Amino acid sequence: MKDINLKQIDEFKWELPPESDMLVPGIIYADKKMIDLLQHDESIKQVRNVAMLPGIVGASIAMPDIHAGYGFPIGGVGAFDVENGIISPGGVGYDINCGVRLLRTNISKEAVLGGQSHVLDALIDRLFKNIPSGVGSSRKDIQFSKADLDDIALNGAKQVIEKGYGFLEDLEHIEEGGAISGANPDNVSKRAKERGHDQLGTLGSGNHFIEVGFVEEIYDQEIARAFGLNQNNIIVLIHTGSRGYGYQICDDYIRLLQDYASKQHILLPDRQLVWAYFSSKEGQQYFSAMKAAANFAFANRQLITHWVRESFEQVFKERADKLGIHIVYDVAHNIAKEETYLINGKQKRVIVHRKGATRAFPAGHSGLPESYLKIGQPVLIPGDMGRYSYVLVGTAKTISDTFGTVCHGAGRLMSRSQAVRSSKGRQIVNELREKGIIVRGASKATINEEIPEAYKDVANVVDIVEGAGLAKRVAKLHPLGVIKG
Amino acid sequence: MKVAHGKGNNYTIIPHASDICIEVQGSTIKEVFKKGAIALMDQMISKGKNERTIVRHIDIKAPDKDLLFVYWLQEMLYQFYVHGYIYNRSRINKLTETELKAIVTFNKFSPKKHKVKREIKAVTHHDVNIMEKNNKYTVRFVIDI
Repeated sequence: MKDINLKQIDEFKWELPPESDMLVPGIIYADKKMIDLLQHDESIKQVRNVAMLPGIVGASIAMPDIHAGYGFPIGGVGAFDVENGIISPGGVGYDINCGVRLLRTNISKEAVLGGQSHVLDALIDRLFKNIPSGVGSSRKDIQFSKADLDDIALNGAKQVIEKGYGFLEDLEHIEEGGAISGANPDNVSKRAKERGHDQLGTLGSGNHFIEVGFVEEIYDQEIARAFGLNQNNIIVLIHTGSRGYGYQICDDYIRLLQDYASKQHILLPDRQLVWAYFSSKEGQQYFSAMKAAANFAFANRQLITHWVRESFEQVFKERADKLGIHIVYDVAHNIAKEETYLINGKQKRVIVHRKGATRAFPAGHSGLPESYLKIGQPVLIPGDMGRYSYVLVGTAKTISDTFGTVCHGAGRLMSRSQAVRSSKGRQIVNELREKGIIVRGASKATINEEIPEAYKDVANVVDIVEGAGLAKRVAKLHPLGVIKG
Repeated sequence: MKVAHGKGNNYTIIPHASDICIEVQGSTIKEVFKKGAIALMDQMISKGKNERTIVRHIDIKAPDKDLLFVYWLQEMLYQFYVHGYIYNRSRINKLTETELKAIVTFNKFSPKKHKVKREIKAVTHHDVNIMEKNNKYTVRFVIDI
């Protein structure tokens, strides 16, 4: 790969000036140390490739958790004019609406850890039992028909709430109220529905997890209070997405758009960067199928939330509402959204692709629920299973600079095979237990691949996003127990 | 570059930032297709004993050979997730630049007989390029975990 010519704009912002076929510059949020590591990384080339796509507006942007993906880099953001721009499955990813949901409780850390750790062990065991996680696992007590699946594609979280899995008030604190309008299950293939049918209500494996933790530190009392976060109270993080339903939709449309590219004589720098004009029939088909997958993911996280509440009820012998188990927020980090931004003095409708990047709307944005309108959107940034995660709040600078977007997590430091080699001879579960963190996993291979040191320090990523003025820290979360598929 | 070898040296794991990159080699293209399927299954499932077998005819079309390879592996993934069929072996009766016809013998997945190693979301198209050099065919593919 030829030398990267990056220009430093300020301490946390770097520009890849337009060259060759780039229509706009690349903008990378990183510190100097990260930039030095990125010089040899495929991800900068991917930032450049995105900048070549038709109708791109502003810049091809990358967040500090940037690493190489398929098509777009992970941590990549690209906005395209709805009239003459494109939409790309490579800008969303296989796991459509992979995202994070944060639950808060009234339970103190002491109630879980005080005395002996039996309560925490019991809670983690119960979560592991109640929530299907690994390959082939599912709950026998839920039955969704094919018609149900189509309704879920249209109505998302609300569809499963109406079947008894949660409360209608849950919808207020889910992005788009738990369903993006305009989904069309007719544009979802039979294969995708087959793959999704048995996987609805499952966690999946890899980097998906459920984490029980507590609020370790609060940086902004007023905002934390508005989010319902109190120091030392127990929280639960859920990280999962659209499962086989979404993966197959991505596969199907990459195939369809490969044909489209071939017919339109489009030369692609990367096969995974296939695209269609947003206004084309193919573009709209993909968008409506992507929304169906997004809604499936909202429903999936809703089902898991119900079983988290059920698990807490079984251990604490108290109703979930008495335990104060409520959603702080649920937000996607693999998605394409139609949004409006001020570009060159005019309001412009664009398709914002967020590939491993999280929406972060500031106070006053019309896309926020009423309860957060004066505060701003909670932004959920999970770290690895051994350290910490963060809750941030979006600022106005995201609207002017990054199409309302910030980072999504820590980003990997080690390959999976390196992580496995690093864990050879070690008992990772025991090591984490000695640190006070219980891990239950369906697969030892996954736990070894997901060791804490395989990831960057998420604090560094958050430092950059905060230093760039894109978001503010609200709270730090500390893990106590983790379920992995 | 540190690499790891899988299942009786049928394939090699190449370091990759976030997922798993697999390289297979063969003296024929058919062999590369078969080894690709074996590698994919080996990354997901451990082999069992006294497994039930099922035979299916698989017919795939693609714009070019590299995509044919990707679609073949995606088909194997689909067969596993939807039907619980684990690729065992195959007889490839037709393999052109754009079409594959094969008779595939699968093993039926059973939680009692098979240990799941990991879930694979997808076989990506990333940098798939079947190369021929000195009568040896090589291809790398990346699976999204």
